[in-house]
Amino acid sequence: MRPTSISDYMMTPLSKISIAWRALLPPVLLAVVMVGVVVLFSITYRTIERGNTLSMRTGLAIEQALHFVDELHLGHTALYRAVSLQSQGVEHRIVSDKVAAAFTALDKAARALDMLASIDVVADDVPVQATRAAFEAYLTSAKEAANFVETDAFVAAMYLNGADRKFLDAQANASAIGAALAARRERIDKDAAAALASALTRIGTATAIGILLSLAVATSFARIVTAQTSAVARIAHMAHHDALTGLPNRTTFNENLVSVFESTQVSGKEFAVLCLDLDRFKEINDVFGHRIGDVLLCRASERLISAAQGAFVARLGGDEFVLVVSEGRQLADTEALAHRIFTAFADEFEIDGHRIRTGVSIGVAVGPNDGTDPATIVGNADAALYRAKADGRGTIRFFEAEMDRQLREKRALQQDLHMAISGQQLLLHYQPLATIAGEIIGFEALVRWRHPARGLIPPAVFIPLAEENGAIIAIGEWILREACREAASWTQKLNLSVNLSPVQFLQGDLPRLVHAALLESGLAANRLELEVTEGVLIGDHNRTFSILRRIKALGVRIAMDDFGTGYSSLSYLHSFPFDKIKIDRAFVSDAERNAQSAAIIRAVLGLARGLHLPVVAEGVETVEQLAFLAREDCDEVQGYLIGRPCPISDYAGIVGHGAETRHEIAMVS
Amino acid sequence: MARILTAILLMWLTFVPAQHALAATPEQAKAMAERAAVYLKKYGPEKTFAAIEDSLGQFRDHDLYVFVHDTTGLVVAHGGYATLKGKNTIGLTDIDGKPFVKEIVSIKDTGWVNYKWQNPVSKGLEEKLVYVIRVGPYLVCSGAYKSG
Repeated sequence: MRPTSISDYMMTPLSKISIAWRALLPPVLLAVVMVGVVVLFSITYRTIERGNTLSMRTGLAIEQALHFVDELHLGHTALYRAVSLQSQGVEHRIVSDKVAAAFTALDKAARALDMLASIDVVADDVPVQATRAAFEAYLTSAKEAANFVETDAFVAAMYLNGADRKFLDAQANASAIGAALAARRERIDKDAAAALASALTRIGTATAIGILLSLAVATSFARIVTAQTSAVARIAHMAHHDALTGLPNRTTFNENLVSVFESTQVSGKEFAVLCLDLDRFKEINDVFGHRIGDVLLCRASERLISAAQGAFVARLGGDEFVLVVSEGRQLADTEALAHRIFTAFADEFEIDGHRIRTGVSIGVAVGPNDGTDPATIVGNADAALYRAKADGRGTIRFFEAEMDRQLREKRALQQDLHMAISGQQLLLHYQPLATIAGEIIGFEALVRWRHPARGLIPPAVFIPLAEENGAIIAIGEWILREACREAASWTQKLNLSVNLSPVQFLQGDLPRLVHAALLESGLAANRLELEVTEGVLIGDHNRTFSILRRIKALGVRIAMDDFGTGYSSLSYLHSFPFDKIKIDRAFVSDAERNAQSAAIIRAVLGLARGLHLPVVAEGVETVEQLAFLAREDCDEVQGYLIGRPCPISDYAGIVGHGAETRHEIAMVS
Repeated sequence: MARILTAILLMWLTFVPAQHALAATPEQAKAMAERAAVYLKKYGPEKTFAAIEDSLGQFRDHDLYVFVHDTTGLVVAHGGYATLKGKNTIGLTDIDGKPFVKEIVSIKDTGWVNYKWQNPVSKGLEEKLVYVIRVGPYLVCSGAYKSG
């Protein structure tokens, strides 16, 4: 999709937000993951700590169990020793000390067992109660034994013997406690290790995610930087390229041309500048609309790029394109390039179901011969293009010095045109119109420009110039007022025909001007006939018809001039009640030689009869032509055969002495 | 531990010279017990117990003596081991762990109880066959050592 406006290059607020979000998301996620890692660390720490505590307490319990067994053993052994000593008949004190020592140990055993039972890790699976029961049973026997140690060693020994089993029972239970606790500690340690391992895995995963997110953060920042860089690049691109077609724009073309110019000045090589425009693009725009016109420009650009084969192509605006060829043999290569372009445009464009054909006109200037600076070279290429279009479009023209001279002359004339009215350099010639029978019924006023330095300039030369620079408005007004004033002075109430320029329909209030001219001159409206060409009707038909109706409402007649050269659309004739049709001189002068021209004349005459319109044949120069037109039942004729355009004084005898008088006065004065 | 005890006892007994000449038989023990029971029934506990504990009395004959438990295991009179008097020996076991006192107090009428005990004459640890007669709340016992 080619960008179509400046906003496409700018970041919209929405995209800024989304970029901000995209940029913000990874850091936020990273922070979340960091917090997660911290939490995991703390959980892990607590798990390990709890594991350690459990393990430690279990260890403590095991220690107490061992302590219990030790003390129990110590006490039991001491009792045996006491019995043994007693039986050996040792001192009473020594025996009683031994018995006391035994019970001290057994007390410690009891305390160890109490402590063991108080440690919270000791659960049901640890046989503390059984141990305690066995220990208490043992203790009973031990006390019985102790009771007899000093009195009856045998009974004591028997009690000790009985205590023996309880001792073993207590010892076995204590061992079971130790085993259970050891197993538990192993389990706790294993759980702690597993917890640690899984926590480390989680932390590892979280850290990995963190690293990935860090990368994402970096990437997103990089992306923002890239996006901004690309936005900058796009803006730069925009500054140098045409938004519609994506082609380099005028700025880029100028830069390119300057660099080419400078490099060729050093190398002495030639380079060519081709100015190109699409034929009748304005009409295509008018007929199909600007959207289609824009699409056409894009398609045309594509064909141009393809045909250019690497040559520089730029769009200067509208349908103006320019190519620069800085390599190769200029003349031959430029002609080859032009040929490729003509070929590329030979096929119709198909846009939205419309089949549109447009040719191209090309003007070429070759540097450095055709200009001493880039601007002149482009101007000359443009002059060549103007010439190509003037020569019938669809062609290529190389700039020639003569052409340059003409162009400069044209510009000079345009400058001078502004002075023409105030300098009283304009004058009117009148050409008679006659019935087919030869009776003069009116005159057509034709403007002439007597240039102070160049002499008489034909209207075909200066009217287009005046239309181009807008001078036609003032000139047209002058012609109308002057012609009306002239005709009003005629004693013979002949008709007056005045040409209107299409430009006059676009600017100013034409009906009001006509009305004013009639009032000022006192010319009867029914004597005035205004001639319009089909060019008037291209564009806003409704507005033009509205203006024509208002003029017609004044009683003025409207003639369709130069019929047959343009679109010759029957719909125009149908849409507006023209009073007359004037067949272009080209058909008339060809009528005898060219059967086609004769056929056209016949067709127009037939058409006009159908519409009840009188037809004037222009450019009648021979008797044969007049005879042909008479045979075809043409109504009126105009041409050299009837009379050339001349100052009205030349026709004084026809229009009456009013004009003649004035002419005489003019001659006298 | 049991082995240690056994070793001590064996050592201890080894040094005591055996005196088997006048060892009583189970029948004699039974007769002694019966006499004591009759005596008890006739003269009551107090007089009977004193007679039993009289080392020169009618209920003593070499290694033959009489001892009396109540039903809880308390030694109320002992002709051989005076230190046991007043002690409850219900938890006492012999060298093999046999709870012979419990067996004695569990006898309802008369019966024999067999265990190992020290011969007061020979000082040897011998197998002993005790005849038990229940007299009211008392269990009158007399046993013969089975030495040699």
